[in-house]
Amino acid sequence: MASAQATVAGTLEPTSTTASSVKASTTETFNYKVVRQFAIMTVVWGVVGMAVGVLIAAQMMWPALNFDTPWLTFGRLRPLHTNAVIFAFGGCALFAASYYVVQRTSQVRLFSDKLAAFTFWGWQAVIVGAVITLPMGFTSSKEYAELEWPIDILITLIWVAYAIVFFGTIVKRRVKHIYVANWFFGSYILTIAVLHIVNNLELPVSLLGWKSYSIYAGVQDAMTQWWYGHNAVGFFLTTSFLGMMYYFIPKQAERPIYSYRLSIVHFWALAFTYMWAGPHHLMYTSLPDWTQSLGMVFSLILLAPSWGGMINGIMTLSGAWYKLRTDPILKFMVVSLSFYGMSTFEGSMMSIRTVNALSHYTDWTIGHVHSGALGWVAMITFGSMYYLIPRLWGKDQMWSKRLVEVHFWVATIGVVLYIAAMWIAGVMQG
Amino acid sequence: MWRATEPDGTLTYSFVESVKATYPFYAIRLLGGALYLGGVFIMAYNVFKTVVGEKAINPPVPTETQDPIRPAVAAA
Repeated sequence: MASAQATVAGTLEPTSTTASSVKASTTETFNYKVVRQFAIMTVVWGVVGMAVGVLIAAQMMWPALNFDTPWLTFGRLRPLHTNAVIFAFGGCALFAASYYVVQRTSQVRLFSDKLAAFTFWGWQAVIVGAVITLPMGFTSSKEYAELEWPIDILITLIWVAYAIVFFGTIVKRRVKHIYVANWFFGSYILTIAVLHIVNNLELPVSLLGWKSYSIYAGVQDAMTQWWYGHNAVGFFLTTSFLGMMYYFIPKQAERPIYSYRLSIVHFWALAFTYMWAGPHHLMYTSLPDWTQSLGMVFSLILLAPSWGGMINGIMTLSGAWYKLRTDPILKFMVVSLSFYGMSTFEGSMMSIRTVNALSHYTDWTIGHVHSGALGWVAMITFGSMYYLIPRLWGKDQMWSKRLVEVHFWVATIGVVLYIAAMWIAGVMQG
Repeated sequence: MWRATEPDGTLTYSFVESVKATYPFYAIRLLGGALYLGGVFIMAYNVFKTVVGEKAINPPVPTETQDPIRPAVAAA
């Protein structure tokens, strides 16, 4: 047991070689404070964002649930739901995980405590801003980029601070090798900065009002939007959570990564390929045909690096499969990878023109998104948080392992019901 | 349903018929979503019980590495 732990620790954190050779430094500690703050808010925003989702799902059945109030109508709450689960729940989870992983694997404290604190409070301010402005009807009308220009500027400032903290920590690291999880986190931070700024270039109507208009027009606007939209999926919801996967699965399974070489190969393949896949959101529109075909081809190629990551994660359990019987955290992680593999396969198929002719605009798309979001993103987050949170308070177990197990089964049954219903509904509509 | 046409080219179904046909699946979706949300509430309770009253820790950074990039900081 002790030797297995040492092996894993040696793989991930070369500095903590063996327990006997580690000397505590009284001069420097890890900054767990900001990790704790983000970890707690992950849970809080998870409850809020998913509760809004359940409310609007109920509105689809009983439209009267908007209580004849403009602020509670589906059109305003739907972007609040997506922003809350992606950027509040997912975003806080990623801040927590990346700040923890970069410190542990670089064996150094975060580059700047003040900037890290700024990213925490700033990010919460952005979320509160979204909670207020979206129900009021302020929207740029771009999917997943609905927030208006003052909030966009604040996001940009926070993101630059995030990049400085993350890459600054990498620069002052004590371990020569940059662990692969940090490559995934780094690419996500860099890419989201580019995507956010380029897609949100907009002219405010007045400096005192909220309204702005995109600087792009017509089909260029649509293409820029879905270049952003699909890479938000690719980098905010995929490479970043793969970074989480590459740290927390080996840790929880106490096994080294199955193939470190594969992790590097599929990292570069994924980063290169995702960038081109956006046009599959615009099949049969005025977007030029060759652009649509290009988007479709790259979406099909994308299957290979996606499954490379899935296989690498699942095979990391080689020799540790028996742990799945008793460890609900590992169950979360393995099921999340299964959903990742399934939804990336589904996504590639849906990008084929003839399939898209059936699936587009139907509830199948909503089912697809939720098999990725609930099945992959949220499940790997739950697993990682169940590993992380006790350690931030000096414990190695959650209060109740039994409740983790209950959570796992409730969540799995919930997501299966959700996506099966949407598949049938979507194919019927199409 | 949306793409189904009659021999004379008119649509077989009106849009509202497809909405009506989707109702049972909206109910199943709502049930699935509610279960998933219930799971998050269970997590929130478990997290609360795990951290409440516990001391937050900031462990020291280990000073030795097998793969150093620069001399390790001197242990005090």
